[in-house]
Amino acid sequence: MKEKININQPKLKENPFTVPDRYFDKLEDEINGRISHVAPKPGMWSVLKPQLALASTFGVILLMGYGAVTLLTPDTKKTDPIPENQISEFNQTINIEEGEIEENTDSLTHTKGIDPDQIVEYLNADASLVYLASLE
Amino acid sequence: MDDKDILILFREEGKENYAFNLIVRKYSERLYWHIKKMVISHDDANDLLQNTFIKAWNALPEFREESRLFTWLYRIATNEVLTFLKKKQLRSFLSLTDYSRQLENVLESDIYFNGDKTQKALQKAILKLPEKQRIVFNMRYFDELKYEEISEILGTSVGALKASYHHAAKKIEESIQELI
Repeated sequence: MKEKININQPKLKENPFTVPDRYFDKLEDEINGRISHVAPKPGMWSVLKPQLALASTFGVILLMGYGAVTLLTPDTKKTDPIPENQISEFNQTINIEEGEIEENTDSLTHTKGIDPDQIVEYLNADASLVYLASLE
Repeated sequence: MDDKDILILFREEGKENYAFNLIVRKYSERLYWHIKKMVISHDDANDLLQNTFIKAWNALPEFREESRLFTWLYRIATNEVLTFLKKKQLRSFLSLTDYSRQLENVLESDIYFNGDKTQKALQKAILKLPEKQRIVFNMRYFDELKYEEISEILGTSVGALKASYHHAAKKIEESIQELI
């Protein structure tokens, strides 16, 4: 029967591996070579700080713009109401003007300046043309 | 120079590279062995170690010293190892057992293995453990880290780590007999 091996014996706890010659000295140079191309990344706060500053500047500019527009624009809501008598006067003026326009532009009632004999002559000439056409 | 002084130096303008070299010099060996025992191959261990330091270099300006520098570096290295092992398994469509067999082959042909028959059997027995159990065992057994430190690195409770270690040790003792 095999003797039971005690894993806590000091010999077993020794490191059984080795490394290539001068490995750890060269390692330092290799790591240096790699990190010389890469600057350490800046912290989260140093990345966010300029962005937050920019955002807050925009915010202040927007607030100032809004304030200026609000102050310079007159408040239309505060205009006094128009009195009733002024409204009815205005409506009457409109009605009179509309009546005048109707009188001047109605072609059926606008007969002034045309001779009744000219009308009769025009109608007879038209009728004779119709008659001649029917004979053919 | 202790870690606090190195970190103060790192924050001084123009001293970042010098301070970082001090960190590399101080921790590269410990981190290398931590990684090497997990991936066995020297080339893979070298790649992962360099990636660990590059990640540390990039993240160091954000490091708020909520944990110790040493545990923070260990955590980065451990995450690198676990990600690497997952990728390897996925890429080759192998199960954990198959991948551990592959690692055994790497161990067999490793020119940097200098141990005796029993030490090789121990390494092979460790390779049979699940990844996380392997990490816990290596950290406690070889690196002699305290359970509190391992807990800080892995984010696992001390009780769970103790149970995991004792379970792993028992399995290793059983399988080492067969391997010799």
